[in-house]
Amino acid sequence: MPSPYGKGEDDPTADPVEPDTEIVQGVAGGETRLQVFARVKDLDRHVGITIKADVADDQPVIDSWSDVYVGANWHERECHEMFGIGFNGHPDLRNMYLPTDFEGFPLRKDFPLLARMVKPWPGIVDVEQMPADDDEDTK
Amino acid sequence: MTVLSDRQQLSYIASQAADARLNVELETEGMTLNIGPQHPATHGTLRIICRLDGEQVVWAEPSCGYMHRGYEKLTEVRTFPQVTALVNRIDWLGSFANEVPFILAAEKLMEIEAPPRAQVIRTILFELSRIANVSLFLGDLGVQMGAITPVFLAFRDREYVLNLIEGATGGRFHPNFDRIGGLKDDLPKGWIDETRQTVIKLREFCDTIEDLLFGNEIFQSRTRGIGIIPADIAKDYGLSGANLRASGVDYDLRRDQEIAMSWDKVDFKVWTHPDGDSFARCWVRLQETRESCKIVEQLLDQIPAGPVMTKVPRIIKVPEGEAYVSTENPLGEMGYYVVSKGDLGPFRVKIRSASFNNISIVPWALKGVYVPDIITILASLYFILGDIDR
Amino acid sequence: MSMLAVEIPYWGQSLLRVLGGLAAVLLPAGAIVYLFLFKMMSFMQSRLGPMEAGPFGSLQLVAEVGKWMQKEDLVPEAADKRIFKMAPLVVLLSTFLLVAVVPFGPDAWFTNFSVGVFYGLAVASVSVLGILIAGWASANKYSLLGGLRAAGQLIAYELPMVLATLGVVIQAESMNLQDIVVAQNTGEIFGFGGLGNPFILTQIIGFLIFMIAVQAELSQTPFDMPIAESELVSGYMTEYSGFRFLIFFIAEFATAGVFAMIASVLFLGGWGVPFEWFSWDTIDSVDDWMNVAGPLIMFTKMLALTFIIMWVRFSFPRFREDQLQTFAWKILIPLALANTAITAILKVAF
Repeated sequence: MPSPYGKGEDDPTADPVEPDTEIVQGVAGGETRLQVFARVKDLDRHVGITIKADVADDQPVIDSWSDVYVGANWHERECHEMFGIGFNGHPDLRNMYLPTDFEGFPLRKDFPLLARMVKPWPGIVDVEQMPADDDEDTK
Repeated sequence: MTVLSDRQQLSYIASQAADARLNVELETEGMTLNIGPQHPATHGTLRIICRLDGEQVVWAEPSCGYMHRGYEKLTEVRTFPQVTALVNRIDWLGSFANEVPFILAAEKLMEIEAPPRAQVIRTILFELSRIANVSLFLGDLGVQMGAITPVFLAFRDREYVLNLIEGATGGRFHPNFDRIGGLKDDLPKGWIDETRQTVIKLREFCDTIEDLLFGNEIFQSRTRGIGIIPADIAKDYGLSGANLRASGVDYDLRRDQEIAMSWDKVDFKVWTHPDGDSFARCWVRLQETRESCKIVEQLLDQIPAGPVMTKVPRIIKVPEGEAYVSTENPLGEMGYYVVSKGDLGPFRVKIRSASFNNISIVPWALKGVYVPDIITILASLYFILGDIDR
Repeated sequence: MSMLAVEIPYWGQSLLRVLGGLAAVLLPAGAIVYLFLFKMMSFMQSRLGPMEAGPFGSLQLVAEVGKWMQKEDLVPEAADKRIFKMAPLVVLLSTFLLVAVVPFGPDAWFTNFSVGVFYGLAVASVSVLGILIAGWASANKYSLLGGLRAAGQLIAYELPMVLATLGVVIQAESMNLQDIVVAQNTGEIFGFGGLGNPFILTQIIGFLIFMIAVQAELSQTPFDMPIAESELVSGYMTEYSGFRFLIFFIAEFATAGVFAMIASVLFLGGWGVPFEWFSWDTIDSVDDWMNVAGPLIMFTKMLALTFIIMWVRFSFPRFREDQLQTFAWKILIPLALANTAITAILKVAF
């Protein structure tokens, strides 16, 4: 039976699992590395649309929406703090969750999740190789 | 339901203006008060920095992040069932309601639908979580105002609901019951009858709270006309749920969108209130609890027979794509924007939590109010820290 | 002291008086805390309350006192130390001063001032000083807010209390509390002496105003803006812990008991039963065993009134500060003035 506490703890001589550091890009259909999505909803016609904007790789800046939708103010602050995307015209772009002297942009893919670097995820035991005949069960 | 008169509104504004004039005449210096991360009034570690002039707030600013757990980063390294377990903990009082939009988004990406029995049971559990969440709100409302008795009644009656959720799912607060394609298990024997009994008790609880708290003159004078949020400001800031409906906007995601749940099979009323004050928000939530009881009763009669899980592979790989699903959670509108890269786990999940927007209105709403009213307004806006900070 | 067979020297009498005073303050406090705060509040909230310490949790107060006394004596660094330490004692001092004037029996009294009511009302305001001192000296913004709110509230509610008492004084024609008791117990309602003439019947408005004012004087909900647990953490008591907090705690409930005693003296007939039951005529003809029964009767009446105070405390939300002040100045004081005027007119007319 595999140990529920992770393969690494069973066998200390095994090599640690190398984390996958490849940055996958363009998953949501954009050309640049970062895209900003905005979702607006019409309350009377019950329609919601998602607007996507590509943000330039070298200088990730986009115009702020907080004078059109006041509620976007906090969302843009969080986006700036987590991804490093600048917003032109935002009144007060400071950190939402993180301390003021925090360095780096946590939600970018190259910002490592420290817990994963240190120890392999014990839940990795769930991920077994897909048996070949299970594919036929998909609807 | 009585509507606030213009005279009452004007008298409150006039007293605030008179106080402000006096502060200017006496040239008093302001005092900065930290309604700090540790405080009996905030539901968790929310910090509000107020600048007071006497007992009036000149400027207020919430400072979140004391409970930021990095959910969106964590979801990127988990598989879909693991994310379901994680997401239970965002709004820890409305337990089951957190999982549902995420699972619906994943099912939308996989283009499958849960069988009808699973949909109905999901809706029943969703409404039970709403009742559990809002009954705590009703009790907590008393404590914020100083009435210490209703909260015990609320906890006592909430236990019945939590027992039900535990009976069905195995967990009181974090059920972790929803799966892509349906539910983990079927309902235990006798659960439906017990739910019927519990709904009767919950109706009595709503009546008790209405008598004890809402009918009280002191409660009325503490909440009427306090923290009025007009409808267009509410829409601008992205308020949702009962806060929006209490400002008069008739919008309920259960009725207004096509979604793979069973709200279209039942007949319920969407309550709105024309004033946008604290009393309206509390009252709308009370009525919604009653509606939830009605919805649960109707659904209990309509549970179809059948499987609770469609055929899905044991290890689920969600195909590439993106989906956004939002539902009418107890706190407001909670949505998940799931971007999947065709792998076992999502590529990026954006969690649109209701309290985040509900609290963004605090700097606007707290201008010029008195210190006791800060507590009233915060209590009536009803946020959960896990929802703001994720 | 003539009821005892032995002649007690003066120092013995004084010692007995001091011990009696301590008992008169602390016993009601203990009874109120256990019966109402622990048990009644719990039953109202559909729970049991303390059950472990002693049979049915009766020794819980002993456990609480022990707990508070063994805590560290913290004084905040920025606080004004001498005044900080003095504040709880000032609050408790006012309770002891107030109980000195309450009669417990025909001969069982501590002092028998001819202006007992005047003295009592004056001394009841000393606790305001203690609260203000606590709020200021704590060097904490929450305490300061609580202290200032307390100052405004307690001073505002002194006036209805005084005016309500005025009605009783007019009706009893004396400021001496013993005389007020005798006047109630020897009086007659339309010729029927079986019930005496408790002033609650004629002074019902005064009684209600007095009880409301007492609720505000004790900073109990709905008038507990100074403490306001959900906003100010503990108001003026925030920085106090250990023995000093215990003194505040005891003072709160002891003052409730003593005010209830004064209310029962003024409105319910105090330590006495209607004299007709035993065919006494004046205070001198009251039997000596009344000196033992009197305190017990007084205790019962005090418990009944405190029951009402605590019941209201656990049920109502709290007023906002400006609503509280409006209630005092615009509603209670005019009502109390009207009550006094009507009493005076009726007294002259009949």
